[in-house]
Amino acid sequence: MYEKKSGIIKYYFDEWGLNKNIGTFSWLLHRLTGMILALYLFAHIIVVSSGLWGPESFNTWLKVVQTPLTHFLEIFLLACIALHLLNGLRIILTDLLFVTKQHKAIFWVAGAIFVLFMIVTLSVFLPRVFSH
Amino acid sequence: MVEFRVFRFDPEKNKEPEFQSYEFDPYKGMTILEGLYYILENLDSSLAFRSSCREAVCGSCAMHINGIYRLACKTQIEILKSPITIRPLSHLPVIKDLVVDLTPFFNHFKEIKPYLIPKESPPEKEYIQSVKEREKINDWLDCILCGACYGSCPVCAQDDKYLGPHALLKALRFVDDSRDGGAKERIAFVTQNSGVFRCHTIFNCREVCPKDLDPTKAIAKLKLKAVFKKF
Repeated sequence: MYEKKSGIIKYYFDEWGLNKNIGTFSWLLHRLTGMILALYLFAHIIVVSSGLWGPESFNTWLKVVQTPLTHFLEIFLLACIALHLLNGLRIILTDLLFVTKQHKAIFWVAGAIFVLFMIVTLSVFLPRVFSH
Repeated sequence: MVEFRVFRFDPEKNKEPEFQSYEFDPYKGMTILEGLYYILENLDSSLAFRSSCREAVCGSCAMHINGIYRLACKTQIEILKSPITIRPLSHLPVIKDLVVDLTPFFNHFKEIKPYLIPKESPPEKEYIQSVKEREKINDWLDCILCGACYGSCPVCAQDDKYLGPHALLKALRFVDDSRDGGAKERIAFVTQNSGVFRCHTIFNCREVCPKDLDPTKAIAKLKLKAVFKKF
């Protein structure tokens, strides 16, 4: 008998290759943004916890992260938060109201909200990136 | 002319599977299953696949056809673009070519006890079910156990203990049945680690179901019943 064994990265590519639809896309996006947010959380805790060693240490760390690159990454972070949050709400809606039939429509509504959110985000954060 | 690219794996010859191409002239209205029979009878008698009823009732011929899990007997060649790529169901061991070992699939099905459990005090004659009570289970009845949902579910690939959309849909069919006395036991069983809460709500099962059933909705209902113990 033949049993396909794939590593964790190949598993995601395989599943996408076999089921190219909105559901798989949003699941993959949810996973990816979730992992990015978890990594961000560690970085965030490291920077904020520097305050435990006094205001000077805190200010030094804040200076380190106040660069055009980190401001640019902030836009990326907000995009990840918005995608993860909107897809999470979509899943909660499905679980509570059983709106499985409308899941594609809800996906596109969430997509439209995401675009609006990003327009506002870019208008606020892009000037910050170039203010340095 | 149409080209079929068929997944081939012979345990006696191959270590890894390969795709083999076959070309032939289809007639109008020819289905994928009839195409496979044409190959078997005229081009390559070593091809293995499962089929039985040829009318989307038995669920034997579910396979991955041009990107979607479907029943070969229900899918016409003319609606698909050539070359038509045919693979067996995923997440199940391949015995030969398009034939998979459905043992894990049916083991999960048996785990949810797919039969009526008598109530504590059964009636003297038959269980009486009103039209309204019967309508409650209408949406969960038609599963033909083809395995398309199991093949399409990414969770089934990672967790072989996960009950799967087919078993969870069937579990709700019995939980909602007014004649069944095992609702508590069933809900307790499906809320285990590899039960309803393992579902990531990816919707693939409802997208591929050839009988247009909605296992995602069934799982959502079971989740809510488990949380509020409404049964």
